[in-house]
Amino acid sequence: MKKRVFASLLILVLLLSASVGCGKKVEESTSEGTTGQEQDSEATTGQELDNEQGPITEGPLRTVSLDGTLDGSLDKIKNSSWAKDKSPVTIKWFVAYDWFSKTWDPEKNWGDKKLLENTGITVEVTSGNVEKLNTLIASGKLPDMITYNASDGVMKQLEDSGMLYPLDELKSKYAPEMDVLESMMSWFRNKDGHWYRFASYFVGPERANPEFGGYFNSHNGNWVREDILEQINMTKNDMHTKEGFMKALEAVKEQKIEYNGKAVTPFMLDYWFDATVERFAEQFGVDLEDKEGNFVNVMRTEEYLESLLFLNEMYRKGLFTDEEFTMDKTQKDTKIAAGQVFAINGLATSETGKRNLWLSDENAKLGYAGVIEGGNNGQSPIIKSSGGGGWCATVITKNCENPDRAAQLLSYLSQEEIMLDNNFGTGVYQVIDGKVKKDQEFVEEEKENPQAFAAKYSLNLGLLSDTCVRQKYEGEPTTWFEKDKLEAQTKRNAEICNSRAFDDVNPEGGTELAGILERLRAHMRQTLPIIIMASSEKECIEQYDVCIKDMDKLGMKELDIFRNERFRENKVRMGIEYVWPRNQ
Amino acid sequence: MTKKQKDYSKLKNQLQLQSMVIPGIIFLLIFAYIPMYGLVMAFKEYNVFTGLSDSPWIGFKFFIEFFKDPYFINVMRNTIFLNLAGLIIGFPAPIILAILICEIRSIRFKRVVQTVSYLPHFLSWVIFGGIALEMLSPNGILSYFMQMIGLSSKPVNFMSQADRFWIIYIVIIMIKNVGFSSILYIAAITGIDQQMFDAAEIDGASRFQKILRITVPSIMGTIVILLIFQISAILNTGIEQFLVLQNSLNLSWSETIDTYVYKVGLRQGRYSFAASVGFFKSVVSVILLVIANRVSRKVTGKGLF
Repeated sequence: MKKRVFASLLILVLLLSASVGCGKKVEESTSEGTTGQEQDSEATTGQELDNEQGPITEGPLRTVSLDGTLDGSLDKIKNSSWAKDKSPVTIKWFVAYDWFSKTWDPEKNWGDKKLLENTGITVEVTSGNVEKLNTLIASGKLPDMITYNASDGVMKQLEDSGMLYPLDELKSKYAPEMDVLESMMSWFRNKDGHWYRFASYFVGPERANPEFGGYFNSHNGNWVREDILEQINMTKNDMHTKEGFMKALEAVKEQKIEYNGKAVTPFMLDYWFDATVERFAEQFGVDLEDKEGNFVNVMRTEEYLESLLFLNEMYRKGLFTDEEFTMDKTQKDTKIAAGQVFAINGLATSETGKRNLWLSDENAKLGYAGVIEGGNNGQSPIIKSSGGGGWCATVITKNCENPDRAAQLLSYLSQEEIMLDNNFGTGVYQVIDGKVKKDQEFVEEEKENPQAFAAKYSLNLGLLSDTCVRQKYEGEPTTWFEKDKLEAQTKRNAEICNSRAFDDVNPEGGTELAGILERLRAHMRQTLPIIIMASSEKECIEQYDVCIKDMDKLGMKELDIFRNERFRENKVRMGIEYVWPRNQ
Repeated sequence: MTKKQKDYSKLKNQLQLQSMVIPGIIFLLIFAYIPMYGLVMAFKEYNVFTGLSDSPWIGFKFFIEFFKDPYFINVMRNTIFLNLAGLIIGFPAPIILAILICEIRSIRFKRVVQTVSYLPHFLSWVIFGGIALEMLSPNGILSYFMQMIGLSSKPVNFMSQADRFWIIYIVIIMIKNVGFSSILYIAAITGIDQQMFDAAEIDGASRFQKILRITVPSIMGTIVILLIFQISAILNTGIEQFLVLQNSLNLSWSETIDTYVYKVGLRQGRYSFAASVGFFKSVVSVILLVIANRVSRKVTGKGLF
């Protein structure tokens, strides 16, 4: 009998434990309730504060520009929509990048505190990859707001499926002061006439001009160690020709240059090595739009082959090794930071390692050296800008119970002051004479512990950022690192082309063409290293021909037709006939 | 009393004990059988926005696409080769380790060995793979060691050698999992009647003879079951370890069905394609399971069912 009772109890426990697993959601919602209550008291404090009180000189709510030279400061906006209703509300925001993380902490983080006190909104950010986003869509349990690649097919499908609120309607109803570019609204306007996507890093003509102070960025450039350049008796200008570039790399190898007792590798490709091949093709004067205004697949151009041959020559001369294709980004950063690289291609690869190297030795400067000014065709280089059509976009879903508050949150985040907060930290700077000036105590604090500084002052919600705003208000660079960064973007030796028409040409996910695209990418990543590491120039050309034929078999021709159609549509959307400067 | 009635009355008498299996059945129903409805995705042009029921039927389109894929033969070869090599080299390893661990007399040393061998299993692939990549890089300890003993005159980049990827892969997998996989065998060895060893001792059996004549036959059941499972999973490789260890130079030998489907299917939102390949793999697994079980029954007299 005892055995039976014991067995029955055991079953009960097993069943109960199974039901506990299913019951987690209840707990979650309970904890949300608690957060809401806690937030109630916070928000009340916020309501007591009033923008009309006069300037605040310190803390998270500090008046950012006492001389009034920040056009988009919060205190200049009378009757802002986000301040009308500060009752506590939680906005759930899913960011479809698994590397993104944001912990909401208004107790410790000044950016969060400022947001909560100004709006009464608690932001609950979760992140994951695009598969997680697809799962959310399939389950119908969309959060209030979503952020993902601005030009991705998923975003368009979300719009077309009626799952989103039109931002233009929400803006006019609830958040008229939302600071958004007309060109962005028009670029992302759906066929139904509405605008749904608020894109970040979108470069619009309204701000990318000398009057406003914004400009286009490009990742295409070469960076070299200035100290080593001196040792080999060469200058950055010498590296503006193919021959000079190669000669400098060879000199580093021949002279057996060392740094901290270790041999220096003459050249490093970008972590995305296929990007390096494309960038050199641009440096060699490739035209990515033909005379009839068609899309040109860079892989089919003579300049692309020229770029492959250039890299192949470097490889055969031992100026880089096969390690270039096996290192991950962290390993590349570490190698740069250790001072073991002379020259590199690509902004993204240079940034982290370059900074760490310079911090450890202020003479070891990996400085911007411009681009190679043309190749065999004798044409001057035109380089594509980065992210002209925006990087990620944020949308408000129809699952959002408070679309008015979500729109007001977007409006708040779209203000220039908040964009500067995202860039420089909340409450740590002043805008004087139209330029950001960080308080010395905060500069010291950041130097001492950058992580702790970010955790306390960074809002980390720059998902609506516009680079042009930072460019406009950024003060004169005070360090070599900042100065070099600025020079890389403002003192280029090549014409720049707005990449917007090229950014949005790939097929939408789920389609057959998307499968073809992925097969082509896989094939390219596998084949390019083989071409670059060919034992002779002849073999390199043969391998390239085989690669193009194989890619055609995999469907590259169909993809080219599709891309050309999209490219032409994009130009119509931009209201231009030709996008490539040489055709204009 | 008919046989049926007998069975029923037996079941009734054991009701409490029999009902202990209910949670397991419920679990299987919810997490294994009901989701099988999703298999129809393999025959539909599924779109997350329209949902499964409203997506149009397309028959075997994605199966054909997979079989006609230019990379089909390559990824199939890699998948089968890596798993077969893993089976031949990797399968006996935990058995040998388990036997060796059980032969250790010092309890403290035994515990240290067990902990050290289990530890890598609990590290994520990002960390474990990262450590492995550092060791295998041209500046890593292995390259340094090879140069030191004169096997190479210059730094060696192990990860760039595609044809040797399988050795690196199997060794890394073994280091990570051998300890944890040996747990089952250790448990089986612990369950062997001690009297058998005592009797063998009296009969003058050596340690090696005891292992060969008592330990191995006693755990043969466990070995066979795990072997059958492993054979049926010959088309599965998982993707985490490959995402860490894969690079452009070893892709020709490191791209497997799972990683390829992840790239061409899931990453591009082509769930039906991924489901078709998954379905194909399951069918192959079931066939292999049945064959392996039958062969095992004939050869060893032991099997799963």
